[in-house]
Amino acid sequence: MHANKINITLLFLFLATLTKSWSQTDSIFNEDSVDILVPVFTTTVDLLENESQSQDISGLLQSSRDVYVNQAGFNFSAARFRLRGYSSENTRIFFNGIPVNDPENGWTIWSYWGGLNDITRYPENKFGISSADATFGSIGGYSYISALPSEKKVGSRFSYAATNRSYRNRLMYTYNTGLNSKGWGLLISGSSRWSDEGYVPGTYYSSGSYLLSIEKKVNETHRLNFMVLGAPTVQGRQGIAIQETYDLTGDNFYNPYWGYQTQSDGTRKKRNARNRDNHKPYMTLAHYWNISDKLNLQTNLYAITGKTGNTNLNWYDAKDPRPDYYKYLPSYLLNNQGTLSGSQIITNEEDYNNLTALWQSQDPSTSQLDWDAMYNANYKNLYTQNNVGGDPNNSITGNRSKYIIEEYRLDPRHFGLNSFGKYQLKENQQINFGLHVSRYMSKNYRMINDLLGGDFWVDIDQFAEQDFEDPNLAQNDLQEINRVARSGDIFGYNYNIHVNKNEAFVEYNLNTAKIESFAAVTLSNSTFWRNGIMQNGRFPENSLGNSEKQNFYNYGAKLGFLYKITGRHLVSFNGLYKTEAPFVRNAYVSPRTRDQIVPNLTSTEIISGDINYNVRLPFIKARITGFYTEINNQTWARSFYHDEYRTFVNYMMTNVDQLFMGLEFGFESNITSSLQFSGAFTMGDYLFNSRPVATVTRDNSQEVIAENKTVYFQNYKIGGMPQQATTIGLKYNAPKYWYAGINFNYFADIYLSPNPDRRTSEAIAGYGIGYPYINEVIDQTKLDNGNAVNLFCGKSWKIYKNNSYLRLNLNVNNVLNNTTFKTGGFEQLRYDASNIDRFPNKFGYMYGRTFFVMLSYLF
Amino acid sequence: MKNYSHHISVILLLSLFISCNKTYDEPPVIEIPEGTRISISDLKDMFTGSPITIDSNYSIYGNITCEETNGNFYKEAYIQDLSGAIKLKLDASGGLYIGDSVRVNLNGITMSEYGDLIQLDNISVDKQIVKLSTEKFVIPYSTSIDNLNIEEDQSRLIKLDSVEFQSTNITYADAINLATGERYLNDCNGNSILVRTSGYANFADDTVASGKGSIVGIFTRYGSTKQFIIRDINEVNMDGDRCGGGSGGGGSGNYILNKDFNDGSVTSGGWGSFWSGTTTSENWGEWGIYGGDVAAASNFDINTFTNFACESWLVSPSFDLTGTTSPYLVFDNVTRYNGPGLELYISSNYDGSSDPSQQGTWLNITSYVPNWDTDSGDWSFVSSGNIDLTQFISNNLNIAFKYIGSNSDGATWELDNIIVND
Repeated sequence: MHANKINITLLFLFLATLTKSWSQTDSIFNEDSVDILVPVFTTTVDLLENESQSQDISGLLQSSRDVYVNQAGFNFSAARFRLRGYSSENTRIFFNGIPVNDPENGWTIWSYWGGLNDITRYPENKFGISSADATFGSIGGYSYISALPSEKKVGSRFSYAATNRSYRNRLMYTYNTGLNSKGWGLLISGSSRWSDEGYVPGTYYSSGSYLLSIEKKVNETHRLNFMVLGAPTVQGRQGIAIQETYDLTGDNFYNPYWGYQTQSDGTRKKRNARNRDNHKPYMTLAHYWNISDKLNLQTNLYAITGKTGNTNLNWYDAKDPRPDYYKYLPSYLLNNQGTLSGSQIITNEEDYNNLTALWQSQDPSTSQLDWDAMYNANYKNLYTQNNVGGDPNNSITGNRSKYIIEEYRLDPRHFGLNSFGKYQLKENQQINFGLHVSRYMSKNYRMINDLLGGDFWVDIDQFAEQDFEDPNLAQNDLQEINRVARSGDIFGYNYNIHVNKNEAFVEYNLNTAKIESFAAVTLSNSTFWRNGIMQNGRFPENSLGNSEKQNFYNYGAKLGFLYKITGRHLVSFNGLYKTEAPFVRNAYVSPRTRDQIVPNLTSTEIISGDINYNVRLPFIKARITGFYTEINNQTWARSFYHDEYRTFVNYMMTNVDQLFMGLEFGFESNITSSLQFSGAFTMGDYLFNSRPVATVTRDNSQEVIAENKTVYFQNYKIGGMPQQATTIGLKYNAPKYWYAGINFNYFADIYLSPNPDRRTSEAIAGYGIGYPYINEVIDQTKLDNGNAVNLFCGKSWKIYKNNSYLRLNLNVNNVLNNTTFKTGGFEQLRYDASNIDRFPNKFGYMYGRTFFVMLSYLF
Repeated sequence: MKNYSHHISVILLLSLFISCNKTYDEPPVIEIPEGTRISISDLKDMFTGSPITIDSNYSIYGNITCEETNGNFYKEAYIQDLSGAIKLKLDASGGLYIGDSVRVNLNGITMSEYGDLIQLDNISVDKQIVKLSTEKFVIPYSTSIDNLNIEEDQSRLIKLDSVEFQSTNITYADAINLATGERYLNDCNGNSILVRTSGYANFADDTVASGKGSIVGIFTRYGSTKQFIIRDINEVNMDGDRCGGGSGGGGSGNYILNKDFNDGSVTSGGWGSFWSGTTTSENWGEWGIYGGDVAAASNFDINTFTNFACESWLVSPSFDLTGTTSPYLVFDNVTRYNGPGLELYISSNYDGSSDPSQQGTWLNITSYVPNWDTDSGDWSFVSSGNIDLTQFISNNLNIAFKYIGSNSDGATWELDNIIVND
């Protein structure tokens, strides 16, 4: 018996399939309800937010026909699950022919076309290492979203949804003519989503979206398409905090980013300091060319422009305004003065109790931002700035803002040409090929968003001002000494990043009755550089103008082989090897101030393989997969603010190797014709697999804090996601056009991403060998396992009079209102090895019970 | 396209429906009451020695005489009117600049003292202070060290002429360990004042001015000690000839050699430390700074209760006694716990940089020391008494202290105020 079981397990392990065709099952109720959840690990908040946006890719995967992927895509997203542990850059996405992975970091930010669900609902998906039409791709798979009128359903669709997540209301309208008799087609779609306050206090959401796609079929050989889309979005964000603040406020969704601001009528209005304001239009002009029966070619010229902005507070010569700054928390009084327990006499017990009481009562000027105080500080800060713009005769007297809202901008200017095609060599052999030429530039700068009642801001670096006698060192731009900045003016930093990339691939496919296989190779060339527009006073020699160009040649090959034992049992294996140029986002030690390159910058190497067994029986469809991936020689970069150095510290690691291995299993079984039982399970081991080398620098000094520092990272877990996840679901499809279902989800093996510097010999140098406190410094934090139960149901009615449909869908996520499941967080990069609790970990929690209800009308 | 226009207008409506950025009114100004004007001198007269909280609606008007920009002041400012000056202790750093003409509302503020210097506690720049105008610069009061009145003149902006730093081959403060530096500033008549500089000051790392001249700063006190804080390094103009001639340039003030460790450094001023032994969490027995301002050596790890064998030298810079008549060495020392005594050596052929256990002829003069401390169970320093160096007069002398410990025992030795004088 036992031997049999093992044999079956082994059989599952070593067998598999490629999913070749793509069904178009409707999954509205699933996909639409996926939200941006709490942020994943990272240390600067901007990265944090972007990473969380990129997680929203799961929406794409739910329409996958693959039994594992479509369940994992929806049910695991609440815990910020990542398929096979891969981050976003390993999945390649095309929007109507435009490659949309960001050239700077490889990520796909889903919210740039958020609200166009009617268009993105049915992409062509391939998961893992697979053959692909438009690209060589990578290990995470490939998606192609089409927005051609001729490929979308003809008709209109209008829907309204109400929910209590990031937004409260959504209106959406889509209209597609299909192609008319003259060969013209028009597809338009638009939506708006909004909430005055989202699930998390102080957050709000306001977003529109539009898409226009015009197609002209010139003749059987030529078709043309023009498409433009965009999703202007303004959003107030959520910050994650340390456990102490959650405990004090009694709210696991405590958000330090907002505060009250008194209005002219005396009422108080909630205001968020961390706002996102994005609008990044995508445009393409495409040519579809059937050169012959055997050869076709699609060519897209594309442009991506617009802006991405994130606001934050900044302050000069004033108190830190953040309510959760560690010195404003009750624990700070303990840390400084000893513990409250025991015989130690506490001189400030009264202060401690008072502060604790203020936090517990959620006194708004204690636990939240105090906008009125910031304005009043600015109203009164009369100041004379001499030598304005380097002109000794120019001086300005006015209220110099102590506090401002600044906006970090990253505005892309991206143009490219993507051309790919198919050549039918023989009946069962096909060649795919493609060429992609991309010219990317981003404008990176900081600007004044709001002077908060003051008159001006002076563009100098406060920290350098205190550190150096030479006043020029404090200047952010030597080209304009003592620049006085007002609302809308650029200050602080201003530089452009250029990335040029050329890549080509060719793929050979052979499909017979028994075998489906592919083999592909790719070659690429990437060049990037920085062009500084300001001449930084700390780095006058290497901040202004074009930097040296970094050039990388890369290549890759992949192979897949599927064998059909019978039509119902399929095994396959896939392998990939490739090198990838390092991402420019990680390549500069401090791009804000200078063009210094991370030492030992090299290409990343990816080695990956999987082995699969697929079964397609009438009563059950299932897949089991084993996978193994190494991503080696990665570069890792983070910045964080360090009070003691009074500046941003840049922490960079090279030679970061990661290992991903694990199992995936998914099945769908029809118990009866109307009752479906399904499940998915994955268990992985996602590890650091090397001892990276760290370089640590600071923004306001040439001094290198550390160089060639060994980080003992071997076998630490990659954090920020569950490494084990299970879902089990039941769905009932009633004959009378209604359905209902339930899912149970379980997440395990979630780790906090380790702070590299705590895993160095320097960090524990103060302790003798075997001293128990060492473990508190170096051990990795594992979070508790968690679960969520989701319910969903829906009904549709056909209105015979005009052949239209009315549909009603309802989802309730986390029905049991589990609000204690920590889905992730991070160790603060700043730490104190002699008191590791001084800068505790930050956590985010899974949302409690939420609903999503939608009424749609199709006509 | 007409047929499509209504569809397009729906889309436009939808995507423009977004309410753009939220808008907010500017919050109302919170007025700071003007109250009754009181002079700083009258205010200080209200202070009777114990902290007093001002419960009347008083305001003082004055000009700010220092700022935190260069890091030498932190969470403090000094304000001055025609009647006097007082220190403001700020609840947060920043916001006041030299020349600000301000009104400070004192209702609810506590007046106290620190080392007999009267101060106003916990002033919030945002909540108590109104700036009336800027760039109203106070002209410093020119006076001499002996004329400074420790009561009336405290917290005033002053200018001292014809003064010089006692030791000149030393920095203003310890910028590495961010420790405050205390440097004697003397006039030519034997009066001195202590210049205190924060280790956070951006000029902490500068070597003190070597000549004689003028200096501007805030006059403070600690008890009966007169103290002085530089507000801007550009106001230190001391490049004239020193008292008794010579323009400084590396001379060492009144003493031939003076090592007080107050800068938190063992090796500043050309001193050397040479050590061999065992390293675990530190180099056991190596000379280091204890308590910020004394040198100490110990080979005992209290965490593991272990002694480590070591030999540890503390070597002076070379000094020249040829112009002296009866030179002597004197230092403070204290010891505790069992172990070998500290040894004292002198050499006339040491090269100034090598390991003294390898190079130089070192004469053991341990027994010349009149008064070595013995373990009396406390940490009180004793003076060595004057050690006569007359017989060693030559032009290239170094003295050295040698600390020895074994794996079975070792004392703790501390040294301070090592002075060679004539």
